[in-house]
Amino acid sequence: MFVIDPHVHMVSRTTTDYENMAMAGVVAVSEPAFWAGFDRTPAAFADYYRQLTEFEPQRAAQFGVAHYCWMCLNPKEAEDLGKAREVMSLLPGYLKRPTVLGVGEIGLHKNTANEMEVFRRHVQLAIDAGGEQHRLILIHTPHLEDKWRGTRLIIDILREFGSAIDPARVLIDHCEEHTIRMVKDAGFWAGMTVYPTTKATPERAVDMIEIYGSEQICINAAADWGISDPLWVHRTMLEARRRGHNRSALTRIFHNNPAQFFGQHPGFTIRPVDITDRPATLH
Amino acid sequence: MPIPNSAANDVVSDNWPLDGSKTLDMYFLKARAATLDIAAMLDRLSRSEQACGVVGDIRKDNLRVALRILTDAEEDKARRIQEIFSIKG
Repeated sequence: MFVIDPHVHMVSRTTTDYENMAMAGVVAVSEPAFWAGFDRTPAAFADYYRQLTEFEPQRAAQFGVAHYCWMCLNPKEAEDLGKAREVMSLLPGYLKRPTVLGVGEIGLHKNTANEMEVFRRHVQLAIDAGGEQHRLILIHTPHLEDKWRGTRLIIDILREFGSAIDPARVLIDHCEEHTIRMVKDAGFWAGMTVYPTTKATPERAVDMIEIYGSEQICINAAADWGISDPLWVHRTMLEARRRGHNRSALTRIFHNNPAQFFGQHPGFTIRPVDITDRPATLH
Repeated sequence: MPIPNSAANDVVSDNWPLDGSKTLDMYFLKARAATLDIAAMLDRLSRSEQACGVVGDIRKDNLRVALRILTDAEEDKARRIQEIFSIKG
């Protein structure tokens, strides 16, 4: 099976993780810009963006894995508007780099007024940095008790931009049982994250696929510096296989869906593949 | 509860959905362990409150409401419990 991991923070992972992912069929990863576990100075962001666009692609390439990334100031560091302005001034240049898919992971953390202001600035940046269409957008929804309200706010803010935002070019991530319907009904791509304790389990993720269908859904592990594992994507695939879902469906969910969403960026070169459960004709 | 239908179940194979016995075969032991974890946590909380005093905490209230959902007759339990845990007090 071929897999595209749509959301993983490889800067926090070892090279052995790249090797293990490649051996497990991962052909590409998409790495959103995120929080390092502590608040950084503006100067640190330039180094981080270089790491995402220069170093990580090389590290991944050793194992035949294509590395793509996203640019932003993450919502956990968005409370300081002055710092946000300074860091965001770096982004237009990095957005032009060839492996940068778009703006992300932006969104909300504690649903504050300042976070919403910085979120709006990022959405505007995605519009301004695009041509006829805005740049792809990857959105982080808040954790736990803040998730429902935060997801609602995010959708409402995106609607403020009217026809300038195309829901088919926006992936709203970390959806769970109480938020996935509002995201899909609004026409956005829905990301589901399998992650210990605070997000979905593999079993619940497959439940949601069975209930809401596989269209415009991406599964990720959001593996980072916390207790997490990039192969939880594969654990979810295994759960689906245990329930009898066929290889064609698994390929669609774990490879073709991310290929379809990311493929809207011309620099993403991995195309959906056709795997059926029909017997092959052998010569 | 939203039931998989022809519009949504584009992922299913011929032997899906699992029947009740198969579902229990696959998930009972995990659910049993999770139930015992919750029971033990509530016992732990009770012992703490007996020793140190009862705490007023929205998390405890939400947990008790969520546990009632587990045993009520309605479906869509996961979504409904997620909504309970979205209440911040």
